[in-house]
Amino acid sequence: MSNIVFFRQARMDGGIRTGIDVDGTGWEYYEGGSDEHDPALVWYLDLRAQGDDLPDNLDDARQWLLDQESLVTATYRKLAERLEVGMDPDVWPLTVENVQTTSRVSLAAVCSCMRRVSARQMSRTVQEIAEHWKEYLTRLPQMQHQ
Amino acid sequence: MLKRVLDTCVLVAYWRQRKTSQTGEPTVADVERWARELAAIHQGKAIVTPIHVEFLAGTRDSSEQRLAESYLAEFDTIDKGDIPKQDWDETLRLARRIPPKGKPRDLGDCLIRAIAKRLKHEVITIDAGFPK
Repeated sequence: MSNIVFFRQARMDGGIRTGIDVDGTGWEYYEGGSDEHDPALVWYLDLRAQGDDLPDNLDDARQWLLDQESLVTATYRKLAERLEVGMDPDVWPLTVENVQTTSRVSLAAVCSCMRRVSARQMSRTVQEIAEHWKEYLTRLPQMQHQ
Repeated sequence: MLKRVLDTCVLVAYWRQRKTSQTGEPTVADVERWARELAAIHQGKAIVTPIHVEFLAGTRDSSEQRLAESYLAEFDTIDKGDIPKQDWDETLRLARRIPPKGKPRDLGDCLIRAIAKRLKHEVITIDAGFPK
Protein backbone atom coordinates (compact mmCIF):
# COMPACT_ATOMS: atom_id res chain seq x y z
CA MET A 1 0.00 0.00 0.00
CA SER A 2 1.33 3.47 -0.92
CA ASN A 3 0.72 6.81 0.69
CA ILE A 4 0.85 10.12 -1.14
CA VAL A 5 0.60 13.40 0.72
CA PHE A 6 0.45 16.77 -0.99
CA PHE A 7 0.68 19.45 1.68
CA ARG A 8 0.73 23.20 2.12
CA GLN A 9 1.36 24.67 5.55
CA ALA A 10 1.77 28.13 7.04
CA ARG A 11 4.15 29.06 9.82
CA MET A 12 3.86 31.74 12.49
CA ASP A 13 6.71 33.66 10.82
CA GLY A 14 4.72 33.89 7.59
CA GLY A 15 6.62 31.19 5.73
CA ILE A 16 4.69 28.72 3.59
CA ARG A 17 5.96 25.25 2.85
CA THR A 18 4.52 23.22 0.02
CA GLY A 19 5.44 19.67 -0.80
CA ILE A 20 4.64 16.19 -1.87
CA ASP A 21 5.66 13.04 -0.05
CA VAL A 22 5.47 9.47 -1.25
CA ASP A 23 6.15 6.89 1.41
CA GLY A 24 8.71 9.09 3.16
CA THR A 25 10.43 10.56 0.11
CA GLY A 26 9.55 14.09 -0.87
CA TRP A 27 9.93 17.31 -2.79
CA GLU A 28 9.17 20.61 -1.17
CA TYR A 29 9.71 24.33 -1.43
CA TYR A 30 9.55 27.19 1.01
CA GLU A 31 8.29 30.71 0.37
CA GLY A 32 8.42 33.92 2.37
CA GLY A 33 8.79 34.06 6.10
CA SER A 34 10.37 36.78 8.20
CA ASP A 35 13.89 36.70 9.62
CA GLU A 36 12.32 36.09 13.03
CA HIS A 37 12.12 32.35 12.49
CA ASP A 38 9.15 30.69 14.11
CA PRO A 39 8.45 27.11 13.03
CA ALA A 40 5.08 26.81 14.77
CA LEU A 41 2.36 26.00 12.25
CA VAL A 42 -0.69 28.24 12.06
CA TRP A 43 -2.41 25.76 9.78
CA TYR A 44 -1.82 22.90 7.41
CA LEU A 45 -3.85 21.41 4.61
CA ASP A 46 -3.03 17.92 3.38
CA LEU A 47 -4.34 15.98 0.47
CA ARG A 48 -3.78 12.35 1.34
CA ALA A 49 -4.17 9.39 -0.97
CA GLN A 50 -3.81 5.83 0.21
CA GLY A 51 -4.22 2.57 -1.62
CA ASP A 52 -2.82 -0.33 -3.55
CA ASP A 53 -3.01 1.21 -7.00
CA LEU A 54 -0.97 4.32 -6.36
CA PRO A 55 2.36 5.23 -7.96
CA ASP A 56 5.38 4.79 -5.75
CA ASN A 57 7.61 7.58 -7.08
CA LEU A 58 7.32 11.34 -6.93
CA ASP A 59 7.02 12.11 -10.65
CA ASP A 60 4.24 9.61 -11.16
CA ALA A 61 2.52 10.57 -7.91
CA ARG A 62 2.36 14.19 -8.97
CA GLN A 63 0.96 13.23 -12.33
CA TRP A 64 -1.55 10.93 -10.66
CA LEU A 65 -2.81 13.82 -8.53
CA LEU A 66 -3.03 16.09 -11.59
CA ASP A 67 -5.04 13.40 -13.35
CA GLN A 68 -7.55 13.51 -10.49
CA GLU A 69 -8.10 17.24 -10.96
CA SER A 70 -11.86 17.37 -10.74
CA LEU A 71 -12.00 15.05 -7.75
CA VAL A 72 -9.24 16.89 -5.90
CA THR A 73 -10.81 20.28 -6.48
CA ALA A 74 -14.22 18.99 -5.43
CA THR A 75 -12.77 17.48 -2.26
CA TYR A 76 -11.11 20.75 -1.30
CA ARG A 77 -14.31 22.66 -1.99
CA LYS A 78 -16.37 20.26 0.13
CA LEU A 79 -13.92 20.72 2.94
CA ALA A 80 -14.19 24.50 2.61
CA GLU A 81 -17.99 24.25 2.72
CA ARG A 82 -17.82 22.09 5.81
CA LEU A 83 -15.57 24.63 7.48
CA GLU A 84 -18.07 27.39 6.72
CA VAL A 85 -20.42 25.63 9.11
CA GLY A 86 -17.73 25.55 11.79
CA MET A 87 -15.29 23.21 13.48
CA ASP A 88 -16.04 20.81 16.27
CA PRO A 89 -14.41 22.33 19.37
CA ASP A 90 -14.32 18.93 21.08
CA VAL A 91 -12.07 17.55 18.40
CA TRP A 92 -9.26 20.10 18.37
CA PRO A 93 -9.43 21.87 15.03
CA LEU A 94 -9.06 19.05 12.60
CA THR A 95 -11.42 18.56 9.73
CA VAL A 96 -11.43 15.78 7.21
CA GLU A 97 -13.24 15.31 3.92
CA ASN A 98 -12.97 11.76 2.59
CA VAL A 99 -13.76 10.42 -0.86
CA GLN A 100 -13.17 7.10 -2.57
CA THR A 101 -11.55 7.33 -5.99
CA THR A 102 -11.72 3.64 -6.76
CA SER A 103 -12.42 0.60 -4.65
CA ARG A 104 -8.71 0.45 -3.84
CA VAL A 105 -7.76 4.09 -3.39
CA SER A 106 -9.07 6.66 -0.94
CA LEU A 107 -8.46 10.38 -1.03
CA ALA A 108 -8.86 12.79 1.88
CA ALA A 109 -8.41 16.50 2.39
CA VAL A 110 -7.34 17.11 5.98
CA CYS A 111 -6.79 20.43 7.67
CA SER A 112 -5.80 21.57 11.09
CA CYS A 113 -5.06 24.95 12.60
CA MET A 114 -4.32 26.76 15.81
CA ARG A 115 -7.33 27.64 17.92
CA ARG A 116 -6.90 31.30 17.10
CA VAL A 117 -7.77 30.61 13.45
CA SER A 118 -11.51 30.67 12.91
CA ALA A 119 -13.32 28.07 10.84
CA ARG A 120 -14.26 30.79 8.37
CA GLN A 121 -10.65 31.91 7.96
CA MET A 122 -9.60 28.31 7.41
CA SER A 123 -12.39 27.88 4.88
CA ARG A 124 -11.06 30.83 2.88
CA THR A 125 -7.58 29.33 2.97
CA VAL A 126 -8.87 26.01 1.68
CA GLN A 127 -10.81 27.80 -1.08
CA GLU A 128 -7.67 29.65 -2.12
CA ILE A 129 -5.71 26.40 -2.29
CA ALA A 130 -8.55 24.76 -4.22
CA GLU A 131 -8.11 27.44 -6.88
CA HIS A 132 -4.32 27.19 -7.10
CA TRP A 133 -3.33 23.66 -6.06
CA LYS A 134 -2.34 22.60 -9.57
CA GLU A 135 0.00 25.55 -9.84
CA TYR A 136 1.56 24.76 -6.44
CA LEU A 137 1.97 21.12 -7.34
CA THR A 138 3.38 21.83 -10.78
CA ARG A 139 6.11 24.05 -9.30
CA LEU A 140 7.55 20.94 -7.67
CA PRO A 141 10.34 20.01 -7.94
CA GLN A 142 11.69 23.01 -9.88
CA MET A 143 11.47 25.25 -6.82
CA GLN A 144 12.71 22.65 -4.42
CA HIS A 145 15.25 23.95 -1.95
CA GLN A 146 16.06 23.96 1.80
CA MET B 1 5.66 10.89 7.69
CA LEU B 2 6.33 14.62 7.27
CA LYS B 3 8.80 16.78 9.19
CA ARG B 4 6.25 17.79 11.81
CA VAL B 5 6.92 17.95 15.53
CA LEU B 6 3.90 17.27 17.72
CA ASP B 7 3.92 19.78 20.56
CA THR B 8 3.27 18.73 24.17
CA CYS B 9 -0.23 20.21 24.12
CA VAL B 10 -1.08 18.07 21.09
CA LEU B 11 0.12 14.91 22.80
CA VAL B 12 -1.76 15.79 26.00
CA ALA B 13 -4.99 16.74 24.22
CA TYR B 14 -5.13 13.45 22.33
CA TRP B 15 -4.24 11.42 25.43
CA ARG B 16 -7.09 13.07 27.37
CA GLN B 17 -9.53 12.71 24.50
CA ARG B 18 -8.83 8.98 24.11
CA LYS B 19 -8.80 8.37 27.86
CA THR B 20 -12.17 10.04 28.28
CA SER B 21 -13.72 7.98 25.50
CA GLN B 22 -12.35 4.71 26.87
CA THR B 23 -14.13 2.49 29.36
CA GLY B 24 -11.78 1.16 31.99
CA GLU B 25 -8.16 1.92 32.62
CA PRO B 26 -5.92 2.09 29.53
CA THR B 27 -3.24 -0.51 29.00
CA VAL B 28 0.20 -0.17 27.48
CA ALA B 29 -1.19 -1.51 24.20
CA ASP B 30 -3.93 1.14 24.29
CA VAL B 31 -1.57 4.07 24.74
CA GLU B 32 0.82 2.76 22.09
CA ARG B 33 -2.14 2.61 19.71
CA TRP B 34 -3.18 6.16 20.64
CA ALA B 35 0.31 7.38 19.76
CA ARG B 36 0.22 5.66 16.39
CA GLU B 37 -3.24 7.12 15.72
CA LEU B 38 -2.03 10.61 16.55
CA ALA B 39 0.99 10.25 14.28
CA ALA B 40 -1.29 9.11 11.45
CA ILE B 41 -3.72 11.97 12.06
CA HIS B 42 -1.03 14.60 11.62
CA GLN B 43 1.31 12.65 9.32
CA GLY B 44 4.09 13.34 11.78
CA LYS B 45 5.66 11.39 14.60
CA ALA B 46 8.51 13.65 15.68
CA ILE B 47 8.91 15.06 19.16
CA VAL B 48 11.89 16.70 20.86
CA THR B 49 13.35 16.05 24.30
CA PRO B 50 11.63 18.99 26.07
CA ILE B 51 8.28 17.60 24.92
CA HIS B 52 9.19 14.21 26.37
CA VAL B 53 10.13 15.90 29.67
CA GLU B 54 7.03 18.11 29.80
CA PHE B 55 4.73 15.18 29.17
CA LEU B 56 6.35 13.06 31.89
CA ALA B 57 6.29 15.98 34.29
CA GLY B 58 2.51 16.00 34.05
CA THR B 59 2.04 12.43 35.26
CA ARG B 60 0.50 11.93 38.69
CA ASP B 61 1.52 8.44 39.75
CA SER B 62 3.85 5.60 38.75
CA SER B 63 1.17 3.73 36.82
CA GLU B 64 0.38 6.78 34.68
CA GLN B 65 4.09 7.43 34.24
CA ARG B 66 4.65 3.91 32.92
CA LEU B 67 1.86 4.41 30.40
CA ALA B 68 3.25 7.81 29.46
CA GLU B 69 6.66 6.26 28.74
CA SER B 70 5.02 3.70 26.45
CA TYR B 71 3.04 6.43 24.67
CA LEU B 72 6.15 8.58 24.17
CA ALA B 73 8.23 5.65 22.96
CA GLU B 74 6.05 5.44 19.85
CA PHE B 75 7.25 8.87 18.70
CA ASP B 76 10.68 9.73 17.29
CA THR B 77 12.70 12.02 19.57
CA ILE B 78 14.55 13.70 16.73
CA ASP B 79 17.25 15.44 18.78
CA LYS B 80 18.07 12.15 20.54
CA GLY B 81 18.59 14.04 23.78
CA ASP B 82 21.45 16.05 22.30
CA ILE B 83 20.78 19.76 22.69
CA PRO B 84 23.82 21.79 21.56
CA LYS B 85 24.73 25.35 22.52
CA GLN B 86 23.28 26.54 19.21
CA ASP B 87 19.82 25.56 20.43
CA TRP B 88 20.29 27.32 23.76
CA ASP B 89 21.44 30.47 21.95
CA GLU B 90 18.31 30.36 19.80
CA THR B 91 16.20 29.71 22.90
CA LEU B 92 17.68 32.80 24.50
CA ARG B 93 17.01 34.85 21.36
CA LEU B 94 13.37 33.76 21.40
CA ALA B 95 13.04 34.48 25.12
CA ARG B 96 14.33 38.01 24.53
CA ARG B 97 11.63 38.78 22.00
CA ILE B 98 8.92 40.67 23.82
CA PRO B 99 5.50 40.26 22.19
CA PRO B 100 3.21 43.30 21.79
CA LYS B 101 1.22 42.53 24.95
CA GLY B 102 4.27 41.62 26.97
CA LYS B 103 3.19 38.03 27.47
CA PRO B 104 5.87 36.03 29.31
CA ARG B 105 7.81 33.51 27.26
CA ASP B 106 8.01 29.88 28.25
CA LEU B 107 11.29 27.97 28.39
CA GLY B 108 9.77 24.82 26.93
CA ASP B 109 8.13 26.61 24.02
CA CYS B 110 11.31 28.51 23.13
CA LEU B 111 13.52 25.42 23.37
CA ILE B 112 11.13 23.27 21.32
CA ARG B 113 11.14 25.86 18.56
CA ALA B 114 14.90 26.21 18.66
CA ILE B 115 15.45 22.48 18.22
CA ALA B 116 12.77 22.24 15.52
CA LYS B 117 14.43 25.09 13.63
CA ARG B 118 17.86 23.41 13.70
CA LEU B 119 16.43 20.09 12.56
CA LYS B 120 14.27 21.74 9.86
CA HIS B 121 10.96 20.62 11.28
CA GLU B 122 7.76 22.54 11.88
CA VAL B 123 5.74 22.39 15.10
CA ILE B 124 2.08 21.46 15.27
CA THR B 125 0.61 23.20 18.27
CA ILE B 126 -2.85 24.13 19.48
CA ASP B 127 -2.34 27.61 20.85
CA ALA B 128 0.08 30.24 19.66
CA GLY B 129 1.89 30.11 22.99
CA PHE B 130 5.01 31.49 21.44
CA PRO B 131 5.73 35.20 21.21
CA LYS B 132 5.24 36.86 17.91
